[in-house]
Amino acid sequence: MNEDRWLNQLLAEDDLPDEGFSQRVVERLGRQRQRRRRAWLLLLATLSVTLLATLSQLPGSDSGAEAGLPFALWQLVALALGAGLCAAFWLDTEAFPPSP
Amino acid sequence: MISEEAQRRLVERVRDADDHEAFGELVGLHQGAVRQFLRRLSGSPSASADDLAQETFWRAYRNLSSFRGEGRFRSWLFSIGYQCFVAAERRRRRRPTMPWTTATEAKEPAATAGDAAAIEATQTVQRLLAGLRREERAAILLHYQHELSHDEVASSLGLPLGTVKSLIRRGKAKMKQMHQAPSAGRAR
Repeated sequence: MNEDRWLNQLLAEDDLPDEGFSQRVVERLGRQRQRRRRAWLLLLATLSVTLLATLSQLPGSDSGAEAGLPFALWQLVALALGAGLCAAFWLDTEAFPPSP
Repeated sequence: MISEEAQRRLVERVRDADDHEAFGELVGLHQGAVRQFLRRLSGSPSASADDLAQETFWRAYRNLSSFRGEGRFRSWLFSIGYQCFVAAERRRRRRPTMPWTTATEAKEPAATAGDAAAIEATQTVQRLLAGLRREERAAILLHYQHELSHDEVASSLGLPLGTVKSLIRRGKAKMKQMHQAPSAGRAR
């Protein structure tokens, strides 16, 4: 085999039939978009709950006088947990769909 | 193949409106070349190489904002594909129980051709490519199979232009030498 034949052989297979490959890639984008929507919703829910809890514990509210450092710590833990869950949804942990 | 300008418009649609249909068109345009590149580069069966190709397109989608449109979209995809391959190779080294299967060992290469001579020729090319270093193989494939210029190859592989020229020259010489002494190519 001379050098030209090698190169011709390389060039001969420049393309492959799609066989549903593009479809699988696009479907994966759709699933990822749903995951990200869920992540945003979870983040908003976490922030809302934390905000409500904070407001209910402000001085002047009924339970405000009992608020102390432990409560602030719990808020931080809840916020971190919520953020962690959001990150888990946001980041792509999905395995690639099997190739045919 | 549609023009680069039309491809840039598709990229803008994906970037601006998260248009999955437009991204599907881009995947359809380039999937053949990217999958073929990764099959030849890894010498692995089509399923493994296609997983790398899926990862390539997924990363491209996520990082589309970093595509400045100065070069060809395809060569940008090749650069992502090459990075995916290098990362997969690192993972493979950490888990040596999961080696690439070389195409010459795989059951499927060129089976669709239905032509013994074509299959043999494909296997020969794959064997010669397998005897090259990773960078040489990538440079040869991008330049000869996918017709990228030296500059584009350099940009895709993240290497200086001079290095790419010498990789191609050395790669070609090695392939020639291996072909003249076939047993050398198998000793990888």
